[in-house]
Formats: sequence, structure tokens, C-alpha cells
Amino acid sequence: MLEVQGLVKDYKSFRAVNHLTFTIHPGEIVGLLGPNGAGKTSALRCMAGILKPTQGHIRINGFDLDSEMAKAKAGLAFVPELPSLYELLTVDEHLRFVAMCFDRLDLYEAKGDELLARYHLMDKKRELVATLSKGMRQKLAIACALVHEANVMLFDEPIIGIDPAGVAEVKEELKRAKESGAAILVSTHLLDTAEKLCDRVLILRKGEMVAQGTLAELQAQHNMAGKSLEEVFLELTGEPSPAAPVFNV
Amino acid sequence: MSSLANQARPLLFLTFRSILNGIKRALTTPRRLIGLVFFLGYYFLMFIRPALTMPSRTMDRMPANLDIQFPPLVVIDGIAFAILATLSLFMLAGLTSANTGYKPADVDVLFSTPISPRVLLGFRILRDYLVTLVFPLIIALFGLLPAKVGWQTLFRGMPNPEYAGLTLRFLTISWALMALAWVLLGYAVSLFVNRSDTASDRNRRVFIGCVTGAVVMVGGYLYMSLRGAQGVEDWVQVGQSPILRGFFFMASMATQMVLAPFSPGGPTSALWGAGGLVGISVGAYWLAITQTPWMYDQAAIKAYSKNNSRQLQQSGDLMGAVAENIRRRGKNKPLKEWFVHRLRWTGMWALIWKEIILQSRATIGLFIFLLPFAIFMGVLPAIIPSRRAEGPGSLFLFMQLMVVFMFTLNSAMTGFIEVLKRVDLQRPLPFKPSQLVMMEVASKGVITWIASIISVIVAVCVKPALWQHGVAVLLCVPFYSLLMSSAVFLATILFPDVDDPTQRQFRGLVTMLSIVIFLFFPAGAMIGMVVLNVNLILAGALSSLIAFGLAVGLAAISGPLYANYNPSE
Repeated sequence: MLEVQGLVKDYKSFRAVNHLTFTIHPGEIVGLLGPNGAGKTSALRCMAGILKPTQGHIRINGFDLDSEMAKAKAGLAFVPELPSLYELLTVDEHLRFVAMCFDRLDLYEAKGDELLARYHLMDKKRELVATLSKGMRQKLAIACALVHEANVMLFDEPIIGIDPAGVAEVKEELKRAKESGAAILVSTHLLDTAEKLCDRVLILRKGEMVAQGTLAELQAQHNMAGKSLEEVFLELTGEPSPAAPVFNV
Repeated sequence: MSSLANQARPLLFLTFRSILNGIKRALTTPRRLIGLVFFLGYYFLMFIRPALTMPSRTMDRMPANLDIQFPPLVVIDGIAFAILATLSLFMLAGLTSANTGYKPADVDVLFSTPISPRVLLGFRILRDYLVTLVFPLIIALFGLLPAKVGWQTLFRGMPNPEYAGLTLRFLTISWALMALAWVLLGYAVSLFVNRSDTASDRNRRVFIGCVTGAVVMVGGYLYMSLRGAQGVEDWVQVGQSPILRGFFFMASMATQMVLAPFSPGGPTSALWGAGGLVGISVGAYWLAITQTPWMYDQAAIKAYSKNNSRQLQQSGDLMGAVAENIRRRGKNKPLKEWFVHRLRWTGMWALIWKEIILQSRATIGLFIFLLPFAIFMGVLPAIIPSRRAEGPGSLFLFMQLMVVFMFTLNSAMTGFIEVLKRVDLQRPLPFKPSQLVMMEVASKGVITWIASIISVIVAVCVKPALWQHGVAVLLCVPFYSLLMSSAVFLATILFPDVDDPTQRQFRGLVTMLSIVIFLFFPAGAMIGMVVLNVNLILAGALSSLIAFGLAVGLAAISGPLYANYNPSE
């Protein structure tokens, strides 16, 4: 379970995240939506223990991320947007390294190859990460997130840059993780994916949460019955509606 | 994940495998291997071999009895203090940037794992400490043997000359302790002043201000003290100054240890020195540990900002670095348009148009910096007294060649990395690869041409008799610049790996060599024609023709290489 209470993140005088509070229960996929610069990545990095929150508390599986960091992070997996990986490790070594960090070499030995095969990385197993394409790096980052069987998962734009087969596999993976009882937070710009994949969504705007709930709840709260998630999102974030097409195709 | 060994194991694994794979990659990729062999060979021949063969010559030159007019102990103390104070200055310069060496991969992969920040801090301190210990050895490598001979000579007048070795050992131990104190202090200070809260901005300004002020004052004091120095005695006296000893307090503590075998209260003072350094180390470690909750935070913020900029600069992508700096400063105001924006150049000329705009943004600072040099180089031959009416024309031509060399090299060596990085954007354009290369190469000469025109005009204004030389130069500049750029581009496309430092160094060597080789033909022809008294303008035109022909040839070679270039290889 992931509990976020009053999360604030300031960069000097700029407030990127402003009093964010929510809970994600086991077996739930929650979408984190918002326009560019809404504070999604900053919020996710605070939850992953990378950035230090200016205020607020984050609890992972009941452990406070600040005071019980090791216990909290033991159940956590984080997949950043366009992840930077260790270029001079091979694909296999990278997976092994992450398992070592979580002290779960047993899991790496049991399912490392299976994970690489699932993400079509088996033939690249002994190759340096430096030689991988953008999509393959994303797949490896996801495999690394899955190797230690975390039950709180944070994904920042996980399907950007992945081929359609990979996208389908990631979606399946998220569903499998959900069924196994993981609490999952997915930041995405792909609203149709969020609508289909997520149980509910959190919508951020300029660091503040402007709405949260299922699509039906959002429609009811804001008198937008029958509207799609995209329409609700554009309305709530004040984003301009799609412009007229420039080209006639 | 409680045991320290369990937490340190992945970090050791990462370090060991990265080094091993890096070496393997260097040895198994022909291009990298060639670069590595030439890089090592170059440094061996330039630095290590001369250093290894120097001692016999140095020994021969060394006087049998060095006549020291003052107690050798003071000299030994002064030399040890000077060495340790110099090393301290190097360490002081990097005091606020110790914690900035994290890679984006550390942020994305390592920081979200349960590895304790304290363990990671300890690991990095240990790693940096080992690197720091080796640092003076690299300097000493070039002059270790002669320095040792000189050091032993100092001990000839001492009751126990065999103490020379012992003192060197004490110097090593004192350096080991001082280095530990500096590394720990570096982490403590950088973690304290680089936090992402507003208070740390003030702390950083206060700290940098105090250190800079102290350095300036000590520098001023040194200048005043040494201004009237007559000989070694005066230098030694300045070395004993309490101001210097106070400012370099860690070097002073370490020096006390070096003199332990000789000075009357040696062991006691050595203990005080060692105790002081250990005390500073413990205090700094405690301060660093209290700041670990901020460690990931500031590393994450810096890893994505400064690292990008530094990597781009290191890789030679000047345009990328400029763009990154603009992005970091948040200057996203619309840029002003100037007359070039209104030009309606189409087809291949659009590449030149793009390059003028890019270069005006990326290299304008460098252009302004280098232009006075170009003007000076043009004017210098014009103001030198000469018996001939047109002055020293050959020197004028040579200086102008240097101007072309200086500007072309600057814009070409940095700009072509940008061309490689944007290959996927450029290659789909409707031009042949050789045409693309030719226009990219030609566009790099625009800045050179402007600089040369200004330099020539000023020189001719100062000495109108140089007009014929000036015209010849203006005829040659576009083509010489084109040829130099073509040679640089060929070297860049042959050794394109911007992330491999050995390949970068090797590319630099190949670039210089190829410029000299290819420039030999047109410049040689020009010199020949000048010697044969051929009309200067005609000579310039013919020489330009040769340069142009060679440049086209190089572009024809580079074109297919560019067409097949794969940035991910």
C-alpha cells in the first residue's frame, strides 16, 4: 500500500508539488495525469525516495520512507521516464545488479531469464546496455522493476518508446501485478490507456491535485456525464481543446 | 538488507564490472583499440619516456656538494609545506563539487533501491579517497626520479642523510591523512551548501565568498612578500609565515609529521599534526553523515542539469552545451530576429542559413573573444618596420593562415559533433550525402571568413601597401577554411565516438595531422609561387583552386561514411 500525505516539493523558491494526499491500496492501478510541468515526475521521484520532500509523509507498506527507508524501499519498484541505465553493464548484469541491491539474488536466479525472454531481451543478454535502443532500454528498466517482486510500483510514462508488442506486454504485466496484490501508480499522457488500464485517476495541475476518482466519479463531481476522460481532463486542467487540423489528409 | 557487506556488494559489483567491461570494449572494438594504442603511445613518448631517461642527465648535472647557506631543516620544512599547500589548493578548488559526480543512471536505478545513502556515501568517499591518493603520483610520475635525487641532495648536510627515505615515507603518510581530511571535508561542505532549500543558497554564497576572499588576501600577501625576494632564503622565510601556515592549516599539520625524525619535539608535534587531521576528518564525516538525507535530492537535481552540460562540453558538442545552459537558466524568451532570418535561401543554401544562425548563437562569445587576436595578428606584420614598401608580406600571409586555422578549428571541431548527433534529422533531407557534407563543411567557414575580412581590412588600413596580400588572403580564406573543415570532418566521421575519451584525444591528433598534410599542397604551391615572384592575386587564386579540389575530394570520401553513420553503434 502507498500512502502519501501532504506531500510538498520545493526547488528553491519554486513549488513543484503542493500538498498532495492520496492512498493506493493493494490490487489497485491509479493513473497520475497532468499536463507538462504539473509536478508528476517530481511527485513520483519523492515517492521513490530520490527527492527529499519539503513537507509531508510517504509510507510504503506501512513503513515511513524517511525514517524507515530501507524497509520502505524493499517493496518498491520505480521505472523512470526514458530511464538512464548503467551503460557499461550487460543486460544480464544490470538485472543482477538490481536484484543484488534489493538482496533478492534468489529471485534473479529463478526468474531472470524468464523476464528477459518475456521482454525479448534474451538475445541481448550478454550485450552492453550502451548498445540497446531506446525501446529496449525501457523494457530492461521494466524487467529490473519486476525482478524483486515489489508490491508498490511507480511507473513514469512506462510505454513511451516501446513497440506495440512491448506495450501489450507492459499492460499485461501491470494487470498481473495488480492481480497479485500490488499497488501501482502510473504517470501517463496517454489518456485512453489510463481510461482502460486504471481503476481511478489523480489529476494534477501546477503541482496541486485538482481531482481524483474513477471516471464515473469525475463525471458526477464535475457535471460532465457521458464525457470521455480526455474531455474531463482538458476541462479540469484548463488545457486548450484540440485545434483545427493544419493539413487536410 | 541490514548488513553492511550486503549493501556494499552491489556497489563493488557495479564498479568492478563497469571497469572490466570498459576495458573489454576498448580492446575488442578496432576503432577504440586504435585510439587507445595511439593515445597511450603518444603519452608514453611525450611524457613517460623522457621522464624515465631524465635521471642520469639530472644526476650528472647535480653539484657534488650543494652549498646550503641556511639550516637544511628549514628548507626541508619549506619544501614539504610547499608541496602539501599546493595539493591543498587543488583540493580547495573542488571543495563544493565533491557530491556532484553522480550519473543519471545512479538516480534512475540506484537511488530507489534500499541501499542506504550512508553506505553509498562511505563507498564514494573511499573511492574518491583512493583516486585522491593517486593524484600526486600522476604528477610525480613525470619527475619522480629527478625529484628524488634533489630531495636526497638536501639531506647531505644533515647528521643522518639516510633519513631522506624516512622523511619521504612520513610525507606519504601525512599526505594520506591530509587527503582523507580534504575528501571528507569536500563531501561535508558540498552536501551542506548544495541542498535544494533556499537557505543553502545563502550558505553557498557565504562559503564561496569567504574562501575566495581568503585566497585573494593570501595571494596578495604572497605577492607583496615575494616581490622583493632576493634568493632562496627569502622564499624559505615566507614559507614560515604564520599567515600562510594558518591559511593552509591542514598542510601545516601534515608538515609537522614530515619533520618528525629531525625536529627536537618531533614525535609530539607529529602526533599533534596527525591528531589535528584525524579530528578534522571525524568532524567532517559527522557533518557529511548529518546531510545524507539531502544527498540523493541534490545528486538527482545536479545529475540531470550539470552532468548534461558537462558531458556535452566534454564530448565537444558546443551547440548542445549552449542549448543546455540556456535551458538550465530558464531563458525561454523569444529570440530577436536579424537580417539573416529574412533571407530566403532554399535548397542546399538552407543548410548554410541554418548554420549561420546556429553559429551566431553558439559561438558569438568565442568570436568576440578571438577577434582581437585576429586583428592583432593582422596588424602585427603591418607595424613591424621593414625595408620593403609592402612590409613583411610573408609574415602577413602566415599570420592570416594562423587566423584561418584558429577560427576554422574552433568552429569545425565543435560544430561537427553536432552534425553527427543530428544525423537522423539531416540525412532524410533531399541532398546527396557528399552535398550535405560539402555544405556543412562550407558553412563552418562563414565565421572564419568574417574574422579574416575584419583582420585584413584593419591591416590594410594600417599599411595600404599590403593591399595585394590582403586580396590574395581574401581569395584564399574561403577555400583554405573549406579544406581545413573537410579534413576535420573526415577525422570526426572516422572516429565519431564522443563518449570515448581516448577516441576523442586520438581524433584531435588525427585532425591536426590531416590538416597539416592537406594544407601542405595549396600552401606549398602558394609559397612556391611567391618565391617565383608570380603575381600574388594569381598565386592566391591558383592556391585556392588546389584547396577547393582537395576539399571536394575529401567531401566525396566523407559523404558515403556520413550516409552509413549509425549513432547507436
